[in-house]
Amino acid sequence: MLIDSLISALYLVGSLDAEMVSIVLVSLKISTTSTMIAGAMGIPFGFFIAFNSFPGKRLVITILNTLLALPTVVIGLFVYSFIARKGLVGSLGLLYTQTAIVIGQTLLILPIIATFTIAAISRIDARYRKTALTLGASRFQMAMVIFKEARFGIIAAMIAAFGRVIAEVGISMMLGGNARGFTRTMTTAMALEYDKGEFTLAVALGIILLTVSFGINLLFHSVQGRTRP
Amino acid sequence: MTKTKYHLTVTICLVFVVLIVAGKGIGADNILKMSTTTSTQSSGLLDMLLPELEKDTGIRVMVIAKGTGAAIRDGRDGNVDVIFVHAKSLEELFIRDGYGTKRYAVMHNDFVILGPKNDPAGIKGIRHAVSAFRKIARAKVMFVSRGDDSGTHTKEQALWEETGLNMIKKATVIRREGKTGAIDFFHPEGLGDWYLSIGQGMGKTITFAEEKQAYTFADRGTFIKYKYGRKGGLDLAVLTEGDPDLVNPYGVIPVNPAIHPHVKYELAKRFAEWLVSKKGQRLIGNYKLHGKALFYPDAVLH
Amino acid sequence: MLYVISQLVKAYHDRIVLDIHSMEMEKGIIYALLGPNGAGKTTLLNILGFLEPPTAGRIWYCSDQVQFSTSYLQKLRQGVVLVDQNPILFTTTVYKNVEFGLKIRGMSKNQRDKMVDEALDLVGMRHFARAQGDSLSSGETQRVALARGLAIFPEVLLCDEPTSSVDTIHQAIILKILKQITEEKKISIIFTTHDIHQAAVLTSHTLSLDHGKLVSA
Repeated sequence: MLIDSLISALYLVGSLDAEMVSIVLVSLKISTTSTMIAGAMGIPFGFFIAFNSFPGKRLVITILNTLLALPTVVIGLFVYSFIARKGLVGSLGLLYTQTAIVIGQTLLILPIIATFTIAAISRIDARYRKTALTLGASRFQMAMVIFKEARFGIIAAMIAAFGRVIAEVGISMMLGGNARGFTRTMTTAMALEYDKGEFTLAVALGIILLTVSFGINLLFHSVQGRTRP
Repeated sequence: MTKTKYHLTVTICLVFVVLIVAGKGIGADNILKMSTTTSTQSSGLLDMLLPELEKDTGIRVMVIAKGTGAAIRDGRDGNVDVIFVHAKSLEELFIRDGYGTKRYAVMHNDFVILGPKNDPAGIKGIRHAVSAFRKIARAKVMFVSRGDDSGTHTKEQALWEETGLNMIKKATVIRREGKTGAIDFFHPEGLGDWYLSIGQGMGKTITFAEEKQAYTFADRGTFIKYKYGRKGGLDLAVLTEGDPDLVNPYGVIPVNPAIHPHVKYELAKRFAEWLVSKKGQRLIGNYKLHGKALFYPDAVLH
Repeated sequence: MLYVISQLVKAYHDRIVLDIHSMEMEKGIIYALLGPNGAGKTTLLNILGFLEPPTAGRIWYCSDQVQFSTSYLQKLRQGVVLVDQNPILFTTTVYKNVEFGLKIRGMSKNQRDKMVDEALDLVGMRHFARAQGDSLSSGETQRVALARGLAIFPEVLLCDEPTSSVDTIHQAIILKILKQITEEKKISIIFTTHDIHQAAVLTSHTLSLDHGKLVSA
């Protein structure tokens, strides 16, 4: 049975079936958006934490590390409680939209990006900071130097974050509703097809998802490998 | 960064921006949010109906499928504009409580009792479902129940209660749609003996029954899919059908704008009216799953 | 007067690392700061380079008293460059390393090219311009670090043990460069070393530190 599904699935992929393609595009669009937004927020935040010492810094980092393990359904429930009609921002009508999924996914990967950024910066030799300063750099210019030196670690953070959201299903399902043509992602579609007992589309999407994940992982390791030990 | 890397990065960023902006079309005025059940979605009926609806009315429907209870709750909470489910008593409660305006009787499908071809309990030919159940219990031949608190399971339990046999209440924990919950259910004596309650969806329950060559209670849609839609077919037969007791009626109910002012009430009304119109009803009646009729139009067209 | 120091104390937690009653340095001279390891030479250089504030005491640089606030210090650092004992080069070409200080000062490309070439010439590393910073030997790294500091034409060059981590050939080269800098470019230099003979090669102006205190040479 698996072989049958595999063969029909490969055919589906090769023929660029319209529905399959639209599902893949929705997934890519949503996950890319959330990765970009989380990056824009998480990287500066990670920078700030890494550079400054303040009371409670250790606590903040511990909290961030704990948030790394948040299950997607927990985040989904949390966001749901805000954006459902009876929630605080219910009047915005965000539930069951792509935007809702983006919100949930962004929350999911913010800790990943922040902690990876902090780690990447901590790995940077302390002498860079001193060198930049003695050559007359302002604090901002010095931060840019560190950013450049840590760029591979930070890029790795973005890649890891994308890999996390492209493959998640809890948030997409709860906040998106798996509506065909609107909020159906690769993962929610796979869950549905599996439930229906129809495996061809599920396997096809699975192949694509695996390929994307594999590619992301390869990319991650090649970029990560370029960071200084 | 080298020049080519720089240009590549800029191009990638631009592609992303375009992708993001391009998809901003949601929030359009002709989009209707509808909640329904997973089995309705799985039947494929909507995939056929909704494009026709869009052609005739310009309405695009966003289908959010969940379990019956969750689908109705979405209506209560105002997360959707219209509900399309098959749980008549719950639907009537929905309207009595003021969350829905009117129940449009759209269609029905039915349940069937499946069993091994050689029919050890001898129920073939018995049109009365409750009697068939009684015979199965007396013969103590294996019967597989979904046991997952679904609409089908609820109906099955109701039929067992009508047999007059001694019913036992059992509390159990089930997992559904990734969520775990505790439920009470009723079963005839013999749980674990001849009556198996496996806490699974319809498809898995049918294949389990096939494996054990046991009896089971299923909706016709899933049966058709497994018998005529799979390469290997299904080694079970329909032994009891056609009893009015086995009818599973579907209702469409627009969410009440008096309680949720933001709902697209006019669109919901037009949607419901289209479903019960001549064309809508004809399309529903003609819909075939693997060449077999599945739904029977209910709207009285006079 | 380049630097005037009065009652300078630097302490880390309870440990007193520097305790200098008074010290004066003039412009345009090479000073050798002698002392054994742990005497506090690096700490003093960091303070003179405005990279670390003292715990107590006062410093005058070019007759202005130094306020240890962020913006003030950044301005002062524009004129004083410190080259580490084991300098680290940015992960890029030699050229871009040397160019850094000029770039952040907003100089035009043409001007930068000129000054980078000049600085590299001074340390004899012109032909290494396209090489990656991390592919150099320690001696070559030291020279590039010097060029990087010189490119911005500072008033003062502080060198922490400029020859201790390089081979003998490079030691001679670097000493020659330092001498050349003061004589031709009129840049004041303060360098630390624990080698009295090396110090003597370059200058007669020596200061000695022992356990954080100035001692007579």
